[in-house]
Amino acid sequence: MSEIFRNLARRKLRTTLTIIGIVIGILALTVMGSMSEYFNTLVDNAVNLLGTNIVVSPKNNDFESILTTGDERRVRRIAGVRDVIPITTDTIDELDAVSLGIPDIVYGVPPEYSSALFPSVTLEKGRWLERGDEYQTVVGSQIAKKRKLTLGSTIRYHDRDFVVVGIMNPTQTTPDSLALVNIDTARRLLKAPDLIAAMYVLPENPAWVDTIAENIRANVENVQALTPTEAIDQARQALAVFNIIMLSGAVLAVFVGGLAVINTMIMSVNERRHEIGLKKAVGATDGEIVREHLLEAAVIGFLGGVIGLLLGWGLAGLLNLVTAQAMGGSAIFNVTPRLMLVAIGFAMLLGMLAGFYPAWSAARLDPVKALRVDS
Amino acid sequence: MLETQDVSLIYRNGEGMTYAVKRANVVVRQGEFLGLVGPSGSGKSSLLYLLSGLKTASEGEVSFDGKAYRHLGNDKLIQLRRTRYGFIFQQHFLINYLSVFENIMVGALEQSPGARERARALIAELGLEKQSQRLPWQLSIGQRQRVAIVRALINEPAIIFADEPTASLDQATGHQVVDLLAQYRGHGSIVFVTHDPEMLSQADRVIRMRDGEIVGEEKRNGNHGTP
Repeated sequence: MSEIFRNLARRKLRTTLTIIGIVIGILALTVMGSMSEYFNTLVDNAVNLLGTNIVVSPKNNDFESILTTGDERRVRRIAGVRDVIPITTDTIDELDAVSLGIPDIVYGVPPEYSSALFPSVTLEKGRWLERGDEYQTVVGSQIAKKRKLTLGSTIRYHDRDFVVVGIMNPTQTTPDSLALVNIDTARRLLKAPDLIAAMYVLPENPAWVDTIAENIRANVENVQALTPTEAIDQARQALAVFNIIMLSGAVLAVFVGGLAVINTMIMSVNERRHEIGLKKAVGATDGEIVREHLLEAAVIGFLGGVIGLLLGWGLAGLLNLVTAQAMGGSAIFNVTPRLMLVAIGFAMLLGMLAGFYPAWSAARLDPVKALRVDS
Repeated sequence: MLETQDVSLIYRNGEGMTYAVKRANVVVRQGEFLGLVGPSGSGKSSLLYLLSGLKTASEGEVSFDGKAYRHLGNDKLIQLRRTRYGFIFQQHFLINYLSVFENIMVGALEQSPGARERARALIAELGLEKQSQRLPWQLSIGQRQRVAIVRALINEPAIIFADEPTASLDQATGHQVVDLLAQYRGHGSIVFVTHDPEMLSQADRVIRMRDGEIVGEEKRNGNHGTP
């Protein structure tokens, strides 16, 4: 092994430039991959978040269509529906023309259902909304962090102060940016007494979810009903496209790094023809020659991988700081152990793949020709 | 021990062909110093490559201890080279980023303490103790060739193949190299290729070559080895 390091150290500039090629690729892979990992986590969390609730919303996603109390009644009549939670949605603040990140959202919910909306979400502090609450709110962890809220603090919505009575635990997804208020209060402030933006439909039996969703689609006009499985599938499809776009850029960068390894290893084999010829003459097998050169390429890949990963990790941390300021504490680059293993493994594999042809050509050298003084 | 039967090495260029070695019959006896001499292009190095298995015969047979190379297969031939043969070339071909000691160990069958001990003993025997941790470029040409000799001796080979090992050396250093190799006669055979007949003063037998063919054989020194 020390022989390999010494050989690499002999051509410091060339080795460094080759490693930099890999570093850039792995750095890109780490940063892009960490963003992808973050969104993967979001989707995974969303699976738990929805539980078995069906989300019913207007068929047209045009921000103007709404549901009505009539729609709510029709949904309640569907067989197997245990309960329906209507909600209103609004942003807490007026949206700026240019706004970074996810805005804070107010969900108006019937107070007695505030805990049933997202069954897996628990409270870090305080209590859920109760019947009779008017200007009370339960807020998500992100809002609490960003606005430095604690129990008894107030947030301003439509020129009224809402007292924080509960703070939810972090979920890495929608509820973190939510403030739950009484739906009647929200409707009053929005001057829309029958407004329903969406409904969460609770089934009597989780096994009936698909049937209930089909019946809603068949019996209630102008609505779409999304089961948790469908919602996750939709999210995963969107994520897959996102991942392909993000990662293909990184893979391209890594591929260029691989070309640098091929180039370096071919030059190395050419320079070391005498050495290879001698080793073959004194009895080194083709396999031993291939192994030696593959190991050298793998070391280049490993070094590039480790340095690229560390730099990528650092850059992801830095970007998290920047985005946290812009988006209120949300870290969107998630360097997971899985990503670290993939990055290092990929770099080594790339090194070895790139080193295979030069190693193979080294093993194929005719020792007599390789030992010619003018070769 | 090692012998050829009408062995030829033919290079083909399009429809034409050239004999680098033509129907040569050679016997290398145990413990003998065999010289192959001839002018440049006479085929003496090619014959050495055939004898050592570095080149495959186009015609005829080469066999070691009664086993024909042709029937050994590549893996066993490599194993034979590794375990029973030692090589010295015109250039020392030392690996320039390895120390003298490490260069010697490149030729060792195994990196065992025993092999390391033997390498140290050979280094001492050839007066290279002070140079053992130096890199090749820090040595004189003669010292480099002596390191190459130690590398060839490390596995106590049955035959040492030396291809023009003195060609790059001055006369005095060349004779020192020949003397060193001649001392090995008690342990194994030496096949020594040279264009300079003066370097074969210690040979037991000398084969003369011209245009790929053996044109003469001369016995010397009374030690003719055992077949």
